[in-house]
Amino acid sequence: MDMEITVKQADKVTLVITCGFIDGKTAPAFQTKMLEVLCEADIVLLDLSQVSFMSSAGLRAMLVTHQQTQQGQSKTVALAALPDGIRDNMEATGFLPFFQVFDTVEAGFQGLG
Amino acid sequence: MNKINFEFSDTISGYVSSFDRGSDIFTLKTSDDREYAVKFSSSTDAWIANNLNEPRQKCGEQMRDMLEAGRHIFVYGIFYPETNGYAIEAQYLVFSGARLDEYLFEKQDWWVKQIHAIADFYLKAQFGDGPVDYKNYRTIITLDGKKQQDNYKQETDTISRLVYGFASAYMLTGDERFLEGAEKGTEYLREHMRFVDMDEGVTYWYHGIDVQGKRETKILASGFYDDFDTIPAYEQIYALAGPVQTYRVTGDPRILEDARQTVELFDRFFLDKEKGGYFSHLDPITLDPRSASLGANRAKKNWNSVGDHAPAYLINLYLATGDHRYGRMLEYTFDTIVKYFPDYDNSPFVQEKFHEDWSHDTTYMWQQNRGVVGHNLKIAWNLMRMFGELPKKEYEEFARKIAEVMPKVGCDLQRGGWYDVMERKLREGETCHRMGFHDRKAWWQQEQGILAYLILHGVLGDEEYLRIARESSAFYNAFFPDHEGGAVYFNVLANGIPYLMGNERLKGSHSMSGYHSCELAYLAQVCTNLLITKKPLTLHFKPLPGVLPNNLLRVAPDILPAGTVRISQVWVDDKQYKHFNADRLTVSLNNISERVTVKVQIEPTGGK
Repeated sequence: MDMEITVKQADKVTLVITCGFIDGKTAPAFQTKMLEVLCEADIVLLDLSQVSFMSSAGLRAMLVTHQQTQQGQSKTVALAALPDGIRDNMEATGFLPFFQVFDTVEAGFQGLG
Repeated sequence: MNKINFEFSDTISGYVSSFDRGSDIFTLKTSDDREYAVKFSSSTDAWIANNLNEPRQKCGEQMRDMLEAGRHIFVYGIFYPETNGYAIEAQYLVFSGARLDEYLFEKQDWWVKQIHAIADFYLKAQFGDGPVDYKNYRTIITLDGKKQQDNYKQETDTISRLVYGFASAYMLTGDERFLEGAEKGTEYLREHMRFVDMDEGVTYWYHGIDVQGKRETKILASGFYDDFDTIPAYEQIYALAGPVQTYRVTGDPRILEDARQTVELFDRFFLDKEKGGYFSHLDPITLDPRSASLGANRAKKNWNSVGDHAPAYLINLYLATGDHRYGRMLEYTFDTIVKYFPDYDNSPFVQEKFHEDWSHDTTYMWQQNRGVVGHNLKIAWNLMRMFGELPKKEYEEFARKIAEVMPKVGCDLQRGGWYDVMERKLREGETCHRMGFHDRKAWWQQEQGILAYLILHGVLGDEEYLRIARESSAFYNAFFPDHEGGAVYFNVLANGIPYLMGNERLKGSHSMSGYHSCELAYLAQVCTNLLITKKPLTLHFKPLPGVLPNNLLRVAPDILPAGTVRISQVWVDDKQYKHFNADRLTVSLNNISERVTVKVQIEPTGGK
């Protein structure tokens, strides 16, 4: 299964909706898109509700994205609607505390807006 | 060309050839047989190079009596231009022992005392007088052991190197504080720096973590200039250095599993299964060595990615486990080095940077077509270690070749000591190889020179190798120990005076951090006692109960030629213990259910 990314702008927050697999095949494209979005946006909310699988390559891409937000200007990447499996993986690998996490996209908009 | 006709001061390293008390002038010959006449001045001082934590022994008026022919000395003097050349007046003399042919660094406990002092310095600098807590660890340590207090980065390799130093110091001294430093450091690395990739079945190690107050950010890709935004093999290799040396002491199976999974990373992602060798860098997302994102590091191989496995962790992993998988990997790395690194038709230095197809990379970043002196020497001493396990003729021949050519191009035959980075080729009109950047001498390059000739002599017996080992060790022990600040200096000037500028005034940088100085002390202690002066060596272990395969503790101090050493005595919790196999260098811990200290005395057998 492939991956699709849709970007929507809502006030201060840029919503990135990702669908499908983030794995060894798609992680580079995910990474490129995230960096592109982060060039323009300061606050990014990543909707992961439609991601059915995230491999270690996906986790590494998330980590590198996080690193980018720490360099230079202050940027925020928050996560919304994490499927349980992905939340567990991110927790086990110690990545979860790097991001603000919201249960739903709506909660994300409220928290970041 | 310039005519040099002004006074200057400098160091001469050589052997006394005569002394005339009437004129108060002595002569000395450098190791390449050039002779100088030196006059005592009214203020000439002299001392015997002292170990760390030992008082300096001044020679006073005895210095004239000590000028026996054949004695090795360093002379620092002022050179005055006179009608018939330069007159040299001595400012100070440094001896390596009180008697002719005495080299204090060959005393049975010299290197044990040195590693004790170095590990003490780092323990105190990082953790003060309290318990060891790596939250307090800092990468930057000043000359006298002070550290940063605010926001900071902790680097995986830097911690791992210090852990290696502590584990080695425990093995030689049995001081439990060093074991605490090694075990807690290993635990910290596992908890904070390790990524267990369950999808791929491999483990890799973060470059480090950024700590801002209580907040910790993991950094996956390297932050170092040469390796920026990649996963370099070098960092993964050195991440194992400390834990694996600790494993030799404790047998902790979790470390073994980390090592196994990291080796799996090397085999699955760094290994070039088609053209051989290990790639130097991976893309951090795809783990692809050929990714365009790697830029100058795309599809490259180098000394570190191929050769650093052995000294950093692989020999120690093999010693601790006896696992043939690691033995085969060792053989593979050395065979690869022997096949691709010699380049003597073009340069006296090995070729150490390669493209994927093993064609030579001579335009890489700062290295261009330059050779690192220490990498050449490090190849020699590690080939000779492997020769002890697998006596292949080509290992010996390559090591001998390096040993033959390096003194002419990488060693300072005037002042002593080993240089840093050199141009691999002469340009038109040049007769001597140019320095890559400067003529300073780094502590780690000296380690390579000492160990290369010490191990070559220990294994092959040539007296010439012993002479060069002694000269190298004399320079290091005369000029590198920091008797005021503690541990050893990063760099000295060509003349041996400490160079204390910029990063080189520090003692905790990613390259330093107690690794090379402790590695030198450990291996020099093993080689000097067991292979050269033929004295026993004591090692300490503290295995976790019930974790060792077949309850067998492997205590070989290093890979040494077969049959050269055996166990003479063993103590468990200070009581004599008889369940050991002297020739196989193993101690059986059957029926021991608690954690015990195991002290092992190893002695030379008298034959090779």
